[in-house]
Amino acid sequence: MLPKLRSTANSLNIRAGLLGRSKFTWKYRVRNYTYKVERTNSNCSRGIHRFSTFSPLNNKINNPQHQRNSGNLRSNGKKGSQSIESKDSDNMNKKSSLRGQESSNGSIVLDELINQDNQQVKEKPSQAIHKTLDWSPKAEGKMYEIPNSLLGKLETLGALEKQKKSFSFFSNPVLLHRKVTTKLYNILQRSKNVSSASGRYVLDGSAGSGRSISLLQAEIFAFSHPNYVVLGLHNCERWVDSSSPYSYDASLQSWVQPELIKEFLTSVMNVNSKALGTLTTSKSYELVPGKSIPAGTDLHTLLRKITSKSELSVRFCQSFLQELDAATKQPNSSVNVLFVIDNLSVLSVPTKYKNTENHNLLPCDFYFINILYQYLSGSLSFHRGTIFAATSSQPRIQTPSLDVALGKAKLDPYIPINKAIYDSTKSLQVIPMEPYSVDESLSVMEHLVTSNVCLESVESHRQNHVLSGGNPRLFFDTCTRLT
Amino acid sequence: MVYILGVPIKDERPVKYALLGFYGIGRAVAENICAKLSFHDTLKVKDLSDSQQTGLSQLLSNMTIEGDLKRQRDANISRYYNIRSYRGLRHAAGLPVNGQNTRTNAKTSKKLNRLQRRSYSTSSIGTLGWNRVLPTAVSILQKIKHIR
Repeated sequence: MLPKLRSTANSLNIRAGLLGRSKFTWKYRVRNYTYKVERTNSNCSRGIHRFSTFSPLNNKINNPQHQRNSGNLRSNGKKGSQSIESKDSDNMNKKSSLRGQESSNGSIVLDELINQDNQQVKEKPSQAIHKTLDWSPKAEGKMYEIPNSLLGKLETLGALEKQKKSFSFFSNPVLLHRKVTTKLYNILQRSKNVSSASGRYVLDGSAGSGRSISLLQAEIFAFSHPNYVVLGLHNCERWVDSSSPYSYDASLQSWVQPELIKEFLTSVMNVNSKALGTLTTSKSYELVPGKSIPAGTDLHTLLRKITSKSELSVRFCQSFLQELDAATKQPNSSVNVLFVIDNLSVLSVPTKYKNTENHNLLPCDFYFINILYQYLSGSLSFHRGTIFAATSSQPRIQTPSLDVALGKAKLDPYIPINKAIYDSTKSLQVIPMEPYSVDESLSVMEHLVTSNVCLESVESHRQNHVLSGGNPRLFFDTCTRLT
Repeated sequence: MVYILGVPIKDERPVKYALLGFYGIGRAVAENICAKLSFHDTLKVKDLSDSQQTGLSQLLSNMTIEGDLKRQRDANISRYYNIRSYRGLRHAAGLPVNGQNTRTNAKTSKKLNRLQRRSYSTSSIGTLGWNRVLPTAVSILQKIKHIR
């Protein structure tokens, strides 16, 4: 069994490489030099695997300058695992046996590869990462940091769940401004006087094409503007995987998930506290007999009251959305609503919830998911707003209704589709996710190299671009592989 | 530990799997019960509200499980024996009922088939079988009474 590796994302590549079955071309440096597989801080006493032909590296390891430099090289990168002593029983000279160096966050492998041919690594100036957000097309191809003030909000919405693995490589998460990002920004900037009924979009593409990241970028744009109210629904799997309480509501004639609705409204309240504080209700609401919220109360207070109990959240969820719509209709108001729905695919197939006859419930049988589809179809809308949805490849499921609605497949008489979902989604405007251009690949590669996450030179971005086909996730995996 | 109809159920188990602890409830029946009562898959026994527990107890009390089911099974076997049918005689003899080989194997049937069918048990009474012990005990007591 191979020892645990630093990058789990690349473990497959490395294992395939060690077994000699890598589908990627080997770099000549790796072929010609001994390397070791790193281990984490486990105290396992197994020997290290050695591979390939080698030439002695004694001089480089015992070189004090090399030792001094090795710590500096990794100063910007993530803390790596500590190197360990090798148990050498092969042809290597015992005196010069490789000793693990405890650099601050370095490893022997990286030091060897970087310092081959007695070349000193020139520290490149860090690529200009924009601290201030630029929404214009001129910023295309540039990397920008997510402001710390927005990280908390995105975390509350659950937008960073899927990206935790790739963001863990960096101290601050950084995003690339792509062409599709410019498209989204243009849509949002034009939506100042456009109803959400005519601003319904779905991001569709292959696995790892960057749909969730693009939604994240749209949310960052909205949070950066004070007049936006963001309704974010990420992690839609929790709405269909039978992991939260549900019951049938006779008054609504549909199934409700009180806890999830309360959670959604709570996240909206926490994330849009300032914007909701400036909006007021147009009518009064009686929460419980004897207690009512008068007209003119701010929406933040309304949300605070209705999220105190899950039953109230269910009863007044649609009222809140209607009040939000009413707020956007007011003549002096400049409020915009951005409704983001990630993983629409999982909302288009039968859920794991069961009815009393032990049959799987359909998504439209649920009260809240039905409301979502009404907004997606345009039957419900915000006077000033935009709706962005995104398909997802996780979990891997067949979505015949959505495929036919988005034009990816033809209507097959032998494959039944859900008519309600088809009718709701057929009028969505599809934004296809394009692969990275070569310039975008170069930008990402530069950032990865300067962050010491990628071991290769920037010039190999073309090779990685070809190997990955421009797919962002594959490109990242290709760049961060250790072999 | 929660007791439903006298059967102890661990708190940490999901209800769907905790119901398997009842004699007469398998996976399909447990799923049906959870669907009828609108219990989601990850609902644990300790998270059941009072109304949910009451509903579950009511539903289970209307089903034939545990002792009722065992008595029903034993009554069926006794009926077969009383009408002297082939199946009844095989039960009484402790031999396979459904046409299996007896030249070899048939170990399970020989262990379990009785007029009052026993389950897998390591108790001494279980090994002897009530249908052998009880008549003998009764006859001994009668003799003692007669002597007195």
